Amino acid sequence: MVQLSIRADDWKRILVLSLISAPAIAFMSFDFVFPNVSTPSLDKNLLVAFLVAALFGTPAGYFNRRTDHAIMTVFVYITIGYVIALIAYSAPFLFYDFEVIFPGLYIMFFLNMTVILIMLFVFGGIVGVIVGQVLRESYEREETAQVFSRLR
Amino acid sequence: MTILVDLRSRWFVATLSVAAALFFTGAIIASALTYVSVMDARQNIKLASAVEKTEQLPDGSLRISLTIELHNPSREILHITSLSWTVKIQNLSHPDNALIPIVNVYAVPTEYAEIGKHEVKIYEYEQLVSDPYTLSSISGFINHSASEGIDYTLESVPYTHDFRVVAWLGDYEHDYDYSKELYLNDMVKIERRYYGGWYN
Repeated sequence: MVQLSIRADDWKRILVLSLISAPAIAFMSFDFVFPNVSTPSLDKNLLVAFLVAALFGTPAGYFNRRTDHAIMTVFVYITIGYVIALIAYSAPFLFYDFEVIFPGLYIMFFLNMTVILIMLFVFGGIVGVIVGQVLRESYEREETAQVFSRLR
Repeated sequence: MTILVDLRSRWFVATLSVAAALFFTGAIIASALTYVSVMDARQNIKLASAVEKTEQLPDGSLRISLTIELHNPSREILHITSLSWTVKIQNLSHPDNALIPIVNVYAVPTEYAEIGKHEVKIYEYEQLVSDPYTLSSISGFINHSASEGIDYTLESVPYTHDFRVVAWLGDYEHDYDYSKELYLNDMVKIERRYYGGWYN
């Protein structure tokens, strides 16, 4: 059995790619809870959320040669994005002195509203990874063909 | 880092990705700031400085008035949808069934009445009570109170003023129907009340 390891350099790659995709996840999560105050709103449209999630999964597949690293990147950027969304959701209470709007179920409310969305982010991200890898392979094939045509 | 080399060599896709990331970073910051602004408005929009006046006129009728301020210190425009002012005499031992209604004014603006950012709106209401039925009800209350050892005049009767205002914040959407999404309506709805000397 082959052990797939993640080296320090791979973690850096995963982190950099996560920083590219996490803002979209953060925005969509926040927007799903408060579509009336966010700009530009997706209006709780799950299909659009899925397509955007797939689009932002593409860099993870495009810049990662190994599929396990790409999938890992998807999980890392969803986690980072979700944490950023929670910070944005808590901004009036974390950074300002405003009353908590739903004191009893503060975090649970956010989780409850976005649980389906998280699943969609994971699925969309994996689809995006596949699309990214297909694009990369196609691009590399094109590059190789051009190099060999010059040699002839 | 090899990723930076990769990003440089695939500069077109890398630039698009970074641009999209920047766009969504801006969007989440702008949305969070709007959310803060809405929370600010919800907390700081207040009724204040209510002045209740009652005056007995020479012809025996009663002039009753209320002046009250609505403070909007927030960055949001307030769209008023309804205003109401009622005055009644409340028998505190039987608050539900022993009311004498004196004034009932309810206004629904046909168009949104706006209160701008950082603005204070003063509402002034005045009503002349000359209807014999209402005046005799007040006299009945005064006589009943006198029989229990409390002396009131037409001016000193404990009139209970109830002023309510309902408004929407800014131009945020607020027509969500599903029970799961009613919190979105509540979030941008402002309801303030002045009742019996208390502000809610």
